[in-house]
Amino acid sequence: MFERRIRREVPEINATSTADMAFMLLVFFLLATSMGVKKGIRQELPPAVADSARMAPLQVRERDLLIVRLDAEGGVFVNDEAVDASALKARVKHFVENPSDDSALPEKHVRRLPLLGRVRVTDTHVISLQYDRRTSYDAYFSVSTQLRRAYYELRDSASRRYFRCPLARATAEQQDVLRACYPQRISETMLP
Amino acid sequence: MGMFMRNRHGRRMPTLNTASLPDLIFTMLFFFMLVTNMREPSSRLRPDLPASDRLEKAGESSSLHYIYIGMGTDGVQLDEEMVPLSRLTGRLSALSREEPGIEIALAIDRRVEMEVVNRVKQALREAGISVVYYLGDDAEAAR
Repeated sequence: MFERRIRREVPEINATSTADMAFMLLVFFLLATSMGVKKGIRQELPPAVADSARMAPLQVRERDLLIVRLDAEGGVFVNDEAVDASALKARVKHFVENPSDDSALPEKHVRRLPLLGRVRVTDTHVISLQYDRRTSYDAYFSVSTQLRRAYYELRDSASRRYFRCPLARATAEQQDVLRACYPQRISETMLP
Repeated sequence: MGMFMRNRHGRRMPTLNTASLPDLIFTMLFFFMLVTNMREPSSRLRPDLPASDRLEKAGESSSLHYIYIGMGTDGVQLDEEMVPLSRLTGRLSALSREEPGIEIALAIDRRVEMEVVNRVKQALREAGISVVYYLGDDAEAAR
């Protein structure tokens, strides 16, 4: 005779404590994280002096150079001429754009860009931002904002011209092209 | 127990089925994991940040480290710890060796002089850190 098979019940896993466990994790994330997004002005730092000394010194022609100087009191000078903060943006935009192909302003080079084809770009211009050791961070930050706003407005109007939409709504590819159209070339130095 | 399980009329209260509770909590958990980012270190320096309308989101929170520069102190705060300026380069180099590709968020008081900012920038360059964010208050509405 066959032995009768013993019927065993499969034991159930008690899942009551899973909720407690998940609660613990939830509380941890509530405490360790925050909703707020930190925002700031992004800057790429050049390599340290020891590295850059090995590179050939950058030759910048006078027409390609705009010197923005900040003195200790927060006064702004463009090529040694005092300007107020609101006029700075217009000066920078005019310099980078060189609308009338002025021979005293940065030279335009023909570049082949995706989406746009052949475009004339002032991609050798340099804005030299110079500040004193006593300049306040606030003054530096506001000039820095003005410079970025100038580039933003140039790219924005180019976006409206070429792509018929504001820069904020342009695709990532279009934004890359617009960045190549108006490359941000700012060099910063502290005056001795 | 019986006192709570029966109501005044002597009928048994139905027990609440909690089988789906873990799922519910897990859903909340995933929601919080996705929408939040790691909290920045608390700062004793409380820098008064300048305002700007040209700010962008400061990097991925996992690779972001913070430097606070306040008024009236000789050192700066690197994440949770005060570091004298003279030792900042060493600390930053060690940090970037441990985690290559880190980005630094700089929370600097608006009254700080650029001499200090420049020394911190120099330390960052010597440590081989290439991306920084100057944190500011968003002034989008105040334009």
